[in-house]
Amino acid sequence: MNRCLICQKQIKDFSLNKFLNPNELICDNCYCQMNSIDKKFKINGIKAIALYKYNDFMKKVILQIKMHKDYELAQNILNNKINSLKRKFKNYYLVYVPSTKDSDQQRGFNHVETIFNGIGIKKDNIFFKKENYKQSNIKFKDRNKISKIIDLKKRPQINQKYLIVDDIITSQNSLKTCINLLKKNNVSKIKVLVLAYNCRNNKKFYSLKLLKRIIFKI
Amino acid sequence: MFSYDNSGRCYCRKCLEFGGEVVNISKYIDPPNFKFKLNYDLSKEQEGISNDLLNCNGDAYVNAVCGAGKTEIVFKSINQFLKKGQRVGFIIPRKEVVKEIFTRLNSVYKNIKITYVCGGHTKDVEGDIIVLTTHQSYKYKNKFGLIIVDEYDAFPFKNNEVLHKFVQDSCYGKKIFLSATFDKELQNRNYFSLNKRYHQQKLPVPVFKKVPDNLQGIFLFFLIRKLLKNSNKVILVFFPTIALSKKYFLILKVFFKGEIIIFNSKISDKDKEFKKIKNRKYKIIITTTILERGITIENVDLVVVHANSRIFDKSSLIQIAGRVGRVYPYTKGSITFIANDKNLAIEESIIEIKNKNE
Repeated sequence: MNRCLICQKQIKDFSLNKFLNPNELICDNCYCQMNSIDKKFKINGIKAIALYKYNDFMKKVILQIKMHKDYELAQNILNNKINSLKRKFKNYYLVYVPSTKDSDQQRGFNHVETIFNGIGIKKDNIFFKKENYKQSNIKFKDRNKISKIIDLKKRPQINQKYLIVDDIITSQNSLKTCINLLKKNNVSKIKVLVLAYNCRNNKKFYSLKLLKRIIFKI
Repeated sequence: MFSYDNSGRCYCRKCLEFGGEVVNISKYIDPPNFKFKLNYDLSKEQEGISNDLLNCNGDAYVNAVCGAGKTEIVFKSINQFLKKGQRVGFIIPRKEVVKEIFTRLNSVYKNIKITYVCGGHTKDVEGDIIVLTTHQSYKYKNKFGLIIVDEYDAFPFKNNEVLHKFVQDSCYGKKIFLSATFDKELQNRNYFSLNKRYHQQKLPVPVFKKVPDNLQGIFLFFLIRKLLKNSNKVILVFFPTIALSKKYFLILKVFFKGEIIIFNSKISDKDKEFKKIKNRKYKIIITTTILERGITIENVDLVVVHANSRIFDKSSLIQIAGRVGRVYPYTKGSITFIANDKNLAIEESIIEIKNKNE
């Protein structure tokens, strides 16, 4: 009898999910709250997919992985999507947006590598951060400074298809930096995959917010 | 319930959130040369229990009604342990109450180090008396000679075996448990009851109003208007969820501009807003169960909307009703439970409050 990795309640025996995946480690309730969107969008012309919305629940789950150092949750969080992702990115070279070295050491593992571990046979850590710099602690307007922090440590192969992965996308600056570094080295086939979508520069989002403000503050 | 990390080491899944550093302080303290001054006398019942706690052996359970003055009862025991050179811990499940207790202790004790430790405030961890949340207790293994666990039945402490173990392990001496709502099973140990508030006046009894769900908004509007005619009263309106409270707040805001505020766990600047509430800047406060325990506001009236919601169990309703009439001379106030039907929790809570009044 398995217990859910997130809410620690027992996983019900009689559900379609459990029937198809008998070794499931996350319960249906938690899967629902994670709000899977599979959003397709573009960054500087490069096709990107975001798997989940960065809502309060997703925040809690990612916190459990990063701050509470839950290795088993990091390994199993993409269990229900791993097969389709494997098929989709079969011939891609998996590369990771770099993490801060100190946090990785303190945590004992790199969460991005562990989460996306199941996808792809070819994978490598070709980016690195020149200094200890946490993008999550920086204010939105200063986030373009990351372009001076991330650099390549290995030269990428020109005719290879690259898949850049990251856990959360907010200002898109980290990913843009990595994309530009690959483009500079004449890589033409690039795609992006992120776990949680937290972008705010969406015109529809802003007009809705403005409308809400007008109605309720009068 | 454990997992393995990438170097093959085993880690416990229940202890995931408790990863911070353990506090490295001495087991005993130098008996501080403190001064203790209480500006008022205890009631006869409070004195009685205070002495009983001093003399009893082993752990003690005190069932005191809301606003009975539980904090004052334990002062003699605190003084006893401080003189013995043993550190005293005040453990509370809720962060908001920690700060209230800390202020109260500071006003009564001089020449002694009192600290409070809770989420977001963990820089200073040492003291002769430490006020902390249950979550912080894992850092203080075997560091307290006396612990006073207040709000024993509050979330998140209730039924959480991990937190219970941490709290038990933090104390090598005596433990005193305080609450207004205990389960019956504890009655065969050192069990003391305090059924009267310190000002000896009766507990206000809640009134149940049967109102269908979709008419509760209109009913609430007229009820608030009626209660507001009694100027100087602050009205607390409790909702089961934040989402529901936000919906009603948006509509009521239009009619009661400037006098109404919403308070829940997700707002920014909680401390600032709470201070404004205590200073009676707002007349109507829309809130959730976050304000159900520990806080004291003078001269309040109370309304609970959707009172038959699952979130409001018997002890929750008793605690909410206990917010009224805590400070002399404002010992009376109206408490209204609005729901489309009476359920067991509402019935039992009203019966228990009536029984305590006899």
